[in-house]
Amino acid sequence: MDALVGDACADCDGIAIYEQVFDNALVGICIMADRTFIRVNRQMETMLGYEEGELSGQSVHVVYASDYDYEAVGRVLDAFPKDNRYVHERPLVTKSGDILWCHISGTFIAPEQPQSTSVWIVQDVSARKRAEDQLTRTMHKLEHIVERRTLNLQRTNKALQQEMARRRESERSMIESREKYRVLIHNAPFGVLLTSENGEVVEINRAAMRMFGANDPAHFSLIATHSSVNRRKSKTGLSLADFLASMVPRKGSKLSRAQVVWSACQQQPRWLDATGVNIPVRGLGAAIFLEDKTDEHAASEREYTQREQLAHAGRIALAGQFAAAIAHELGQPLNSCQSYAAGLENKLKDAIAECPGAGDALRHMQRHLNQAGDIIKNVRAFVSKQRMSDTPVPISELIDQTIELLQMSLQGIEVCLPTRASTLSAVVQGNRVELQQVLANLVLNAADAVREAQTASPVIELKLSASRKRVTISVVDNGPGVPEALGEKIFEPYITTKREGLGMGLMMCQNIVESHGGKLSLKRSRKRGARFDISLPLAQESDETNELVSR
Amino acid sequence: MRQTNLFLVDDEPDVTNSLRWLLESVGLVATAFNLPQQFLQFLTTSSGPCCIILDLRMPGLTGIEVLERIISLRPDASVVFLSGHSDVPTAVRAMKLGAFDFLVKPFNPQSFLECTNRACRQAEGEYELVYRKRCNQEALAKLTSRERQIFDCVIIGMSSKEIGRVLHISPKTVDVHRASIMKKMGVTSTRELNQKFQPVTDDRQPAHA
Repeated sequence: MDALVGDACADCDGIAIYEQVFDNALVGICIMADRTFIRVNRQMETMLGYEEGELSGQSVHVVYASDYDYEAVGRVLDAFPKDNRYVHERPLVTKSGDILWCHISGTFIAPEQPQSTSVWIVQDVSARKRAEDQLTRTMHKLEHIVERRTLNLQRTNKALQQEMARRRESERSMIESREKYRVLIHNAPFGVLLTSENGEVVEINRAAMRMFGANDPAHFSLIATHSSVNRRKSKTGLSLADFLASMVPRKGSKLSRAQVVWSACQQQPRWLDATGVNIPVRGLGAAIFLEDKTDEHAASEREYTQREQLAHAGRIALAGQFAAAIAHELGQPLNSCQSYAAGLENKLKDAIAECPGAGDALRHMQRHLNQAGDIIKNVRAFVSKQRMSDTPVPISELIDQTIELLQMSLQGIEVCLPTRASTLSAVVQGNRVELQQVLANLVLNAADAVREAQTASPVIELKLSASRKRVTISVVDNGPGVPEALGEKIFEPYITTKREGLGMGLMMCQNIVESHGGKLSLKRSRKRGARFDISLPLAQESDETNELVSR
Repeated sequence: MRQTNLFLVDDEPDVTNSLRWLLESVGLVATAFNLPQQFLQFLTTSSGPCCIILDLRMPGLTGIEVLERIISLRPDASVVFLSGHSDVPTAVRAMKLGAFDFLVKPFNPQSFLECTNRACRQAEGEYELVYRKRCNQEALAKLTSRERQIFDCVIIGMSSKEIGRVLHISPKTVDVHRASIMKKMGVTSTRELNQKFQPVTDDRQPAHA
């Protein structure tokens, strides 16, 4: 019985179990034939929002979201796969119109008959689908980000390359400018030193090392501490190192200058002009430029000595000429006295013989006059002994040297020098110092005249003209000229137009020129100003006379 | 013998006055000029022996320049130079140009007078020479060209025969010309003629040579 019951029950129970499985499965199950629901389980009805049994007998079309899906699935079914399995995911629509993504798998009970019954299992995969969608979106986003990042990275990379190129370029130009400065500094003909903030020498060029007799920078620093420098103005002494430190310009000033004399044992003292320039770089102090003025100093010393000597020679010559001029001026009245006395003696011979003592008186007078004459002759002899022997004097040289000598006194006055080559080669025989004195005297007279008269744009012109035998130097000014009334009297002693003049200059000039066989004259001109002509015989003629003298 | 004209040329009247006084005291009369141009003007019209006392320093012209002008006008004049300077080159220049002497002031009046006297003597001698030369030249100018030819031959000591041969004329004709020459020259013998004319013809070559 049990077995029967069991069999019957087993049979009944078997179907009931399947029913139970069908009704209680957690996935949607349906049985379809010819795309029409035959039976739909509860799970599926609930999933799609239908009442119990509501879907049975309905076309599957109702659960597809669109006609497109329905037809697409239909086409798949027509060519049902050989393995009799159909698995796909599709959106289905619920009764209320919501979209459900479902995993659908089905199989035909009799695969050889496409119109036969088929079993489908439907699972709601909306959640997974959403997650997948989310994942896809996230991935897209991620991709986008990656893409953007890559682009950024590329850009950054490019910028970096550009930056590197720029750096390379700037490094190259830095090297270039550094080399430029290095070559400049080290080959500069003047001394260049760079100091640190606290005045220590950090760089020194070759010229500076040569200047101080140093072999290398180390040697130089030794020299710097053991040699001394004197400021030319204040005469204060300090070591070279201290001096260089002092050349860093004080705050607020860009430059510092000093003129110093550097001296060290076994070295010639050097006259240096130093200029310190601030270097606006942290850690650096100043660039110090040193100019060696030793040669210039020596030259100016020499020039000074020469000028002194010349001035001394001039003073001696002046004294001599003064004596000669006085002798000359005295000679004439003395001569007249002697002539009158001798004339008296001759004319009054008889009367004198009668008058006792008159003859003696006359002879005494003549003796004294002769004595005076001898004194004059002695002075003249002395002066002529003092005179240097005559030498050939090139006129253009004489003019140039005189003007150079008077440069200080001629400031503010335009001086025109002769330019004609034919006359510039003229040479006279004579005493250079004396001739220079004449020219200087005339030029200074002209300068005084234009100054005193406050002539606008004063000019002193030196002209040269030459004939076969003579050369004439003219000194022309644009001052007020010599007063008409004075005329040739200007050459006489004690005649002057200057407030503080002695009236001796022109007289002595005339004496000198005449003693050279020349002539000094005042020329009248219609133009304003004065013109003095010094006319001198040319040297060839003097040579002849010299020959004659030596004969 | 003609009296020598004595001139004092100096821009200083003091100098000319005192020297004139001195010269006067020994019986010499001097004419003074204080402007050299004026003196040179005067010199162009003067005649007779001429002695000039010249000061070196003068306005306008230097003594040397005046000397040059004097020499060109009157080569026979004696010029005594006075100078306030004792510079050798100028003295040499003056002497070379033909000055008689060069005195430096102050000079001894006696030596001045002596010097002036010597200068006057020389001026007279020079003038005489010039005068004779001029007279002879005037006389020579009176001769015909034939007479001049014969004169030139006579003066170098040719006889009438020699002259006739050279000039292709007879000695007699030569003698006639000689007589005419003697008359025109104011001499009576060939010796006299030779004495008078030797200096004139010294520097001349005979015309026929």
